[in-house]
Amino acid sequence: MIPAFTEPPLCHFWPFWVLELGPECSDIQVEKAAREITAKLALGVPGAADFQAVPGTLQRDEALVREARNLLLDPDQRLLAEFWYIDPGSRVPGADENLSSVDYWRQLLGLDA
Amino acid sequence: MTESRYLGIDLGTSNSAVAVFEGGRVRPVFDPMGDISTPSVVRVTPSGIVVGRKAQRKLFDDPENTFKEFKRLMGTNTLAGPDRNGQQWSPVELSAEVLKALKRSAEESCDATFDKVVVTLPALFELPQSHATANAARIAGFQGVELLPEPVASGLAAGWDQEEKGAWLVYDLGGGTFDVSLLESREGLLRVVGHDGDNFLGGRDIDRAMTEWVRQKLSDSYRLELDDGHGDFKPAIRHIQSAVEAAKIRLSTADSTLIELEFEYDGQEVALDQSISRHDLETLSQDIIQKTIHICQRLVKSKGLQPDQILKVVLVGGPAHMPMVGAQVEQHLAPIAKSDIDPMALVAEGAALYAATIGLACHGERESAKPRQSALWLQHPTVCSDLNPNLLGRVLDETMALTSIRATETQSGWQSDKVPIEDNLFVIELTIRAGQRNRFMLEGFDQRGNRVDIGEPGFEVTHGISMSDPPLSRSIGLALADGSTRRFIERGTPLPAKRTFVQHSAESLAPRGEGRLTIPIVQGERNKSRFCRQVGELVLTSSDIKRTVQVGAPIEITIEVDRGGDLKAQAFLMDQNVLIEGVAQLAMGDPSPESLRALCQSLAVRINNHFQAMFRERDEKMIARMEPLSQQIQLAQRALPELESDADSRLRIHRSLIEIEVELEQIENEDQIENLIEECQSRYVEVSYQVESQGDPTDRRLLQDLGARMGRATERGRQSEIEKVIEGLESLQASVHRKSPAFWKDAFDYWASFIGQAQNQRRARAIVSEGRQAIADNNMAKLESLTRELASLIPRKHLGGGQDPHDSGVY
Repeated sequence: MIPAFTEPPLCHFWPFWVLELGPECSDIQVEKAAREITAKLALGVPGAADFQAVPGTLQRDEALVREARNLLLDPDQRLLAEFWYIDPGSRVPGADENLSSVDYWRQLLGLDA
Repeated sequence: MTESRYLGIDLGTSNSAVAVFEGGRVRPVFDPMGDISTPSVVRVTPSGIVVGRKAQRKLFDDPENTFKEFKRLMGTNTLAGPDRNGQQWSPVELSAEVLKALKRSAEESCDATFDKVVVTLPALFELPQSHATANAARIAGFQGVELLPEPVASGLAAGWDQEEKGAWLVYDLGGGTFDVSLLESREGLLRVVGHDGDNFLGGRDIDRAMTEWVRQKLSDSYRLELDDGHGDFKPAIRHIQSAVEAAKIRLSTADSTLIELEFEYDGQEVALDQSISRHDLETLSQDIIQKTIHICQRLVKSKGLQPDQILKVVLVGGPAHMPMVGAQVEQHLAPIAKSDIDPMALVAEGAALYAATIGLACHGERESAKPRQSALWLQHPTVCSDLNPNLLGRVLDETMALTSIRATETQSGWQSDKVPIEDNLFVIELTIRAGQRNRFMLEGFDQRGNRVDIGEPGFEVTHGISMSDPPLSRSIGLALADGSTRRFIERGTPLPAKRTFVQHSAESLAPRGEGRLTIPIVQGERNKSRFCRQVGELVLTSSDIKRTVQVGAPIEITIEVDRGGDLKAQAFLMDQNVLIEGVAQLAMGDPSPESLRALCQSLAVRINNHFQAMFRERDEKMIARMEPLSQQIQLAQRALPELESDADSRLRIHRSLIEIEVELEQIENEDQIENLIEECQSRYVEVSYQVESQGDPTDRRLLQDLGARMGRATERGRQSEIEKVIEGLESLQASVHRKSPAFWKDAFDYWASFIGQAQNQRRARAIVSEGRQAIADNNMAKLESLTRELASLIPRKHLGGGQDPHDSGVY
């Protein structure tokens, strides 16, 4: 089952992934990351709209970045995001070596079904 | 270097103020009379419009041409006037005049033009009121308008240079509204944790209570009856209102004062001095202040905090500075915060600071000082709590031979490395001084290290507290066909926000003809849509669609709200690939005096009936709960004479009546547990009889199981469990009934009772006629098929029992 804490409840909107941060980041880092990505989006920096998530490379816009920032600055929402955090590039020990990280997580989350 | 300025305006009910953020600091702008605030009063003179203190002076001499307190009617279609030119004025037009005057003051003070602004508004303003405020700003000549809740603005201004971390309250008692916000500062970030308030509670209510007190004194001591039954006393009442307001202000510093009364009564001049003490004022204000304290405590509790976790309270607004307010706040909440900012400018200064934090800059210089076009497009924060913010930039002129760039802070001399430019883009990590305004200049270099002219690429970054996005004051959602509400954007969601959900059509819509399917958008926290305010609607018409929208067809609905009070919505018909955009924003309805009287009367009767029943049963607990409602309905009944003349009173009374109705329903629901248990037991007896006569062994086992569950549920007295047992009994009854020969006959009769609402009347009548024949012929197979067809012709929304006042076409 995919844990849902945002609306729409889609795992690829997990705020840490959108801002490319880990759960140890501070509020100032959240602010800074959101500001920088927004600036890059405004300037049209190549690749600024891409972010890595479990299902692969996804797209972000200013609204999604703002939403991710607001979620992580709210202590309750952040706690939930930390609880469900999955490193988009991580692997579980014993996972099928032939599968890429993304494919492994897709399989684990039932996204290929 | 072009100077950036940021404008903030506090558009108040009684007074307004404007502030500018420039050069790394915020300052209030004084009006032409040299005052820090401008009365929100507009007067139409033979030579034009006058705003502020000059207009205020003519309130009593020229009331037909002088308008005040129009903010309380924002979002309604109420018109003031006509004035001496025969023109009627909407609250938006009058507010625009105040905003124009403030804009002019700021432009003269800064010798600059302002085309963007942050305007503050009460935290509990609903969408029609927010939308009207943004429109007023646009009419006043602002192209970019952002709205900010007043308590957030005052919190930002008060917390700007505070080092203390933790939670604090902003208590804002204005002339017409009360707002309280719970804020938290952490790591240089100010966050609005939540807010509460009352849109119809303010200093004016204290004035009203004082006026009533004076009227009573005049009646008791001098037999002067100043009520409408004895003639037209509007000028006298206006005079008393003005005199009590002045006395209230004097009582902030004096223990007692005189209310000087001079008015005409029955053709005679009356001149009296009525003494009033601070104790009298405190007694008259007690209920109002208590109500505000209760709202604050409710907010703190709702966020899971204890009162001792609140570090301090910031008081905002004129009435909030009455000594008794401060004393009550310190006694029940937390110590009052000390601030150097003039309380009349606090909100405007917060608005200007917010404009700076979100980069809503105005660069307009007067004609003589136009800046040169810069060769760079820069992205940087104007205000931030981070000491090492990044500067991102793009070289706009690609023919320039720029290969690297360097930033220098003009005061400290700090200098960045020469940062290479790749693909016309660069990033420089800056170092800024804490608590200071930092001015940076950029230098460009070519491949050989020679300087390149890059225009005037200077910029400023001020170190300070930054803000999270302002929260939505009340939830926004859809009114559904069954009378319930589907929340899309929850209260407290930071704005702007956008949400999408899939709903289903409750009725069919054919592509030809004049059919329409309405999707009402409502705002409020109640689960029943009739208790929420309709703020907009999305309408699907026959001409929008390619083929028939069937009952149950999925419709993907998106609602979007921005910080300027704009509501956008779209419906996507998933099976037709058709997108319908746009939303009609609705003004707040002005309820008629007759409807309010009727609602008041019916609530009074309901409350009275409950009281009688409770006294009979000696249910003291319920009597204690019902007593406040009884008092509130009496207050509303006493206010009914004001309904005819005053649109603001109508809105206020309407809101009170809705609150009474909501509370009454809640009490009635609790009372329903007993009724539910009774219903459950009688349903059990009924089903037992049916199962005995028509059921099979499986039905008997199910009944036995439900009997055991019923015993447990009634013992615990849990409503949801009892309801589930009733549901189980109903479904068992339906299952047993289905096996009986009478089933399809009953079902046919049920659907035939809705024939008046059928979409295809001719076919529905034919089915009913054929059905009657099938019953006569005992042809149950045919009756079953006819019943199914008849059911499909009845729109679902007609089955909700009249609970949907918004005529919603979705579920």
